Amino acid sequence: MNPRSLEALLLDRSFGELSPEASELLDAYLALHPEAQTDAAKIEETIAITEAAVTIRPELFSEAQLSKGLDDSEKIVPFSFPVWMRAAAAVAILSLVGAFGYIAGSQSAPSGEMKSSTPLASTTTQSPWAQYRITDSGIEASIPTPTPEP
Amino acid sequence: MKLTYHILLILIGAFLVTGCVPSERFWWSPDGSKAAVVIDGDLRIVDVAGRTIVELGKGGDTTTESVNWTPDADSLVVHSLVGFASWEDAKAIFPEGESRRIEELSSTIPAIVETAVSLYGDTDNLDGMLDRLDSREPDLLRCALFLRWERDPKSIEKHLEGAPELREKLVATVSEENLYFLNRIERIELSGQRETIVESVSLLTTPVSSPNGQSLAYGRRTGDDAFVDLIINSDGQEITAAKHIYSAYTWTSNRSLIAIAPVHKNDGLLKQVREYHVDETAKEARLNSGAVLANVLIPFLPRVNALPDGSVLFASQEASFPAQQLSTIPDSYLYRYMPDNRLTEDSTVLRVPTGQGELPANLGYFSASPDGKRVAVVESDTDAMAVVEIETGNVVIISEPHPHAKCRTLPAWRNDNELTFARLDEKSGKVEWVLWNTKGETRILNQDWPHEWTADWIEIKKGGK
Repeated sequence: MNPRSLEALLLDRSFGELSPEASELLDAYLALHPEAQTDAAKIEETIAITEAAVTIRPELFSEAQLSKGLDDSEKIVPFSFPVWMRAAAAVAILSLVGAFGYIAGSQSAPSGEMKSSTPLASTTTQSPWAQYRITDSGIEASIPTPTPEP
Repeated sequence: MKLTYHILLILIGAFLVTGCVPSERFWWSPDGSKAAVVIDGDLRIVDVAGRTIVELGKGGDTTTESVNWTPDADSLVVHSLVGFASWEDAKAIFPEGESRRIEELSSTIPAIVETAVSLYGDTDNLDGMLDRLDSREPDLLRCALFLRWERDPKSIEKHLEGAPELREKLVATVSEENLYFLNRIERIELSGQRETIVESVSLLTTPVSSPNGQSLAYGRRTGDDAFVDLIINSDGQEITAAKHIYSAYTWTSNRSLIAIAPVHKNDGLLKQVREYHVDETAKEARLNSGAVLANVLIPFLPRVNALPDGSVLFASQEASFPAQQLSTIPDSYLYRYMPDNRLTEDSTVLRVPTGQGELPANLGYFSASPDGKRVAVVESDTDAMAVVEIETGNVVIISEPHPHAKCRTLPAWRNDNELTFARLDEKSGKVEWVLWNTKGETRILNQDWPHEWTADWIEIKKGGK
């Protein structure tokens, strides 16, 4: 089985579109081909990230986002998903990036004057600051939920 | 395919919500022995235990806006707003020239209202409508509108038949207690003796004393709401140091002025940090556009601090163009401009080396310690507070955010190692005035104060306590 077919079958199964018989055949194939199990695990992990992104950031899965050009996302995403899954995967990557900074800045950050930062000496590990998103209606602030003290 | 970075001007509007931002409410004297505190618009001086030493506020219709201690700590320069309910009361106090101009403008109000409704239609944003008329005298025009309504409301109402929302807004506005406001900057001795420095109907902004205490810098609005002219006042004589800048300026130790200005007079995300050299003894200043120290990307309120080593602290987003279109706001950082005599090998503009995401995206509210080694940072959408070591970029969160709480008070340094700020006590619901030191120790200064004195220092969002 070529990698593209494996990816397609795993995606179909994750979306409940694989028949029980086909799912059994897929499991049998994976049991007989250990080399494919590693790839399958990676694909399933990425699917899980995407599903988590949909849960956490549903607003990113708008029509506008899903219709974006995907040339750059193809370079970022390590696996070649079917076309209809590419958009969700790209948004998954964007959502992760949005949580930790942004791509353009990290690619074009000036050198020389930056020093490595020391960790925040706070009681929580998450940022205390509001996060802002650009939407069609303007800017929306997302207020962090403080972690309860033990 | 790279996408052109789409600069959204709405970023400015989203961050610049008038009245919903942290503001200064307390100012420590240079020796740290006492603080000027604004309580419900009144000014009082308190000691380090929070006990009132003297009450200086006039109360009533006078609201203290900002305070600046003189270097000798014996007096304060105070900016107040004095409100008047009627034109008769206002005219008796307003500067004669401005009173005369307001009465001249009032005769044109019916035509102005008719034009505004024809051009822009109905709106409930009265101030917005007046601003869009691009008046060089927005504050005087506003007074003229109320004066005309006071004397002859029908001459205005007939032009509002097609603008019911505007009419409703105007009727609601004129029913407020005070309609006419005078800006007053005065020097107040701790004994209570007062000396008026300048009065103006046109908006004045925070006065700042020069390092030698001989001059005062403040802004005066002369048109567009976003900009002011930078005025130097020495012994009652005014000179204009710069035109068309934002209300963000400070003196440096070598008595030049640093201000943030728009690029080519256009309000936008791109701004400039400029230095203006001022001859305080000159009766007429040669206006110059100022030497550009840095071009910056500021979608939030501009702010600038002068550090004792001669450097200038400001904030900016970091971006290079073209850049990919993003769904989140880029990180903001603090930067220092080092004067020419402190050139480093790399650059005259050094980034305070904080890590990605360690500072708020809305980086318009910060205050440097007197020794310039640390800076306290807050934001308008949470009540979190951090202290940053400028040299190392080390960030310490000294007050975690509380649910439903938004900071409405800028922190103030008592000395190099002690900082005061507002913090919500979730158990009692009271807003505490906290004294923090670099050892991490804290003390509450307002334990004996009535709850309502600090109630508006932190905004509790709907659904909270």
